[in-house]
Amino acid sequence: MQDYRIALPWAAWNGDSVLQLTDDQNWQVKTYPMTDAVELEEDELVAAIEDPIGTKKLAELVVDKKKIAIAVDDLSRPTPTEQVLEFLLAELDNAGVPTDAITIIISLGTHTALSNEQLYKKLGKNIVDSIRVINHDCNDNLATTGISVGKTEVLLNKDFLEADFRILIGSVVPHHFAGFSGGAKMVLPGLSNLDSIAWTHKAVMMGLRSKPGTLENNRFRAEFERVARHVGIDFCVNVVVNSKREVAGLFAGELIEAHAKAAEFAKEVYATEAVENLDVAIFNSYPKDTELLQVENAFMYMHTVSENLVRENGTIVVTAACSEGLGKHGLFEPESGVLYRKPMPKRFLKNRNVIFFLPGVSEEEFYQVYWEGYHFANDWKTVVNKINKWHPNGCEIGVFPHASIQIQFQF
Amino acid sequence: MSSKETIRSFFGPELENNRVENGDSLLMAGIIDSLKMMDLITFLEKEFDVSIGDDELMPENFDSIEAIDAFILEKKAA
Repeated sequence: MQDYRIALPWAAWNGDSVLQLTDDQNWQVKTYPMTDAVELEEDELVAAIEDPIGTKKLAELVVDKKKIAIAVDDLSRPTPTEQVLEFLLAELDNAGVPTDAITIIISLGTHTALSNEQLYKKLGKNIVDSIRVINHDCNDNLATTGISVGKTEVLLNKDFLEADFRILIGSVVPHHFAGFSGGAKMVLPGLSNLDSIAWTHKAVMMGLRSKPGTLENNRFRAEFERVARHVGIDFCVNVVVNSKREVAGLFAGELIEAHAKAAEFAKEVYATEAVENLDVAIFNSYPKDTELLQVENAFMYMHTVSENLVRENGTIVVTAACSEGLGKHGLFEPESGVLYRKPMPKRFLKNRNVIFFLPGVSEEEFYQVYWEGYHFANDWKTVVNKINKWHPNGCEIGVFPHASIQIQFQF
Repeated sequence: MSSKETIRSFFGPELENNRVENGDSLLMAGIIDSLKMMDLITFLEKEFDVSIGDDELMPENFDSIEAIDAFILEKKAA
């Protein structure tokens, strides 16, 4: 029986399996996992919702509320929302909130609307069939907030604004410019208009951002929190997932305080050993591996470590299932995205061989998003042959199985 | 040299090579990115004797030669 040394978690929301890949006897393979954490027990989940951080109990807060809006993230995020919602909805039910007072809004930013099949994956059939669920549209059903980011007015989802009780549910994983995802980021950019979302991303592209994996002195996070506070968020549920996309931490309560506690825990869970001068690094995109337009997240770990993670003339392999194909993003999708630019080489990949292993997309789709100088493969044998060609005398390979959420140790 | 010409000089021949006019988006033309932005801020502060605060680091102030010029003129007038 073959002993596989490269085993990658694979295809979030599409089977969540393990992909075992053949390697070469000339390779020295070492896996660098995240610290990880065990799944919470059911009573721990219930306790986290029943005993919130920095705010009154949910049952007390919802008294006399007529319209409850619950914003949740989409399939590009790993949150097992159905499981969390079941406990939250039970709590609302116990407090006497009728089902028809609740609207669940998919906080999409500029991502494409979820189909019914995708909604079932994210929320479960029972919830989708019994509660009003809507997809946010960054070009429609918006209302003014009276505040701006820069000189751009922020408009938000009308159903969310019209509610008299607002809840957020999102996962807290390292994020390129917001430090960590979740919390106020669910509102801006999640529930806002195209112009204000474009403003935030433009600022990022121009370098007006902070380091991933930290909330301190983060201008974007501060901006998002200013908007969310202005609108009013009554209850924020922050989920930290483990390596299997299970709930390993749940921090519910006040918008800023509960999110900050979740981020502290997330730093521990996603922390990964620091390493330098590898010949080859394999960055696997799971759990953000659903579509090509999210594959950029595979460089998360790389952005938090030394430039010498992979030595000059070494090789970077990016792997992702891309089960949903190319994907859609109103800002970056080829041709129609308002911030789409012809693909260019990335400075941080300079002087390295770069190959992407993406079985879920075509070569044509790949080169609409990535520079022509990078290599594309949708079969693993091509990757093995390339590595052997670039490293004929063998090589030391580091495997980062959850590279889209792994960060360097920060203790 | 006008202030716009001074700002253009920072980018060297890149603007001419890519036919970038004063009103064009530097970001969309691929002229500016995070690394270049830091050098641009340093250049503007030194060249125009201004101090640029964190709260002024927003895309609308730096996304074209005209925007940068207007931003600098406003700062000088303040």
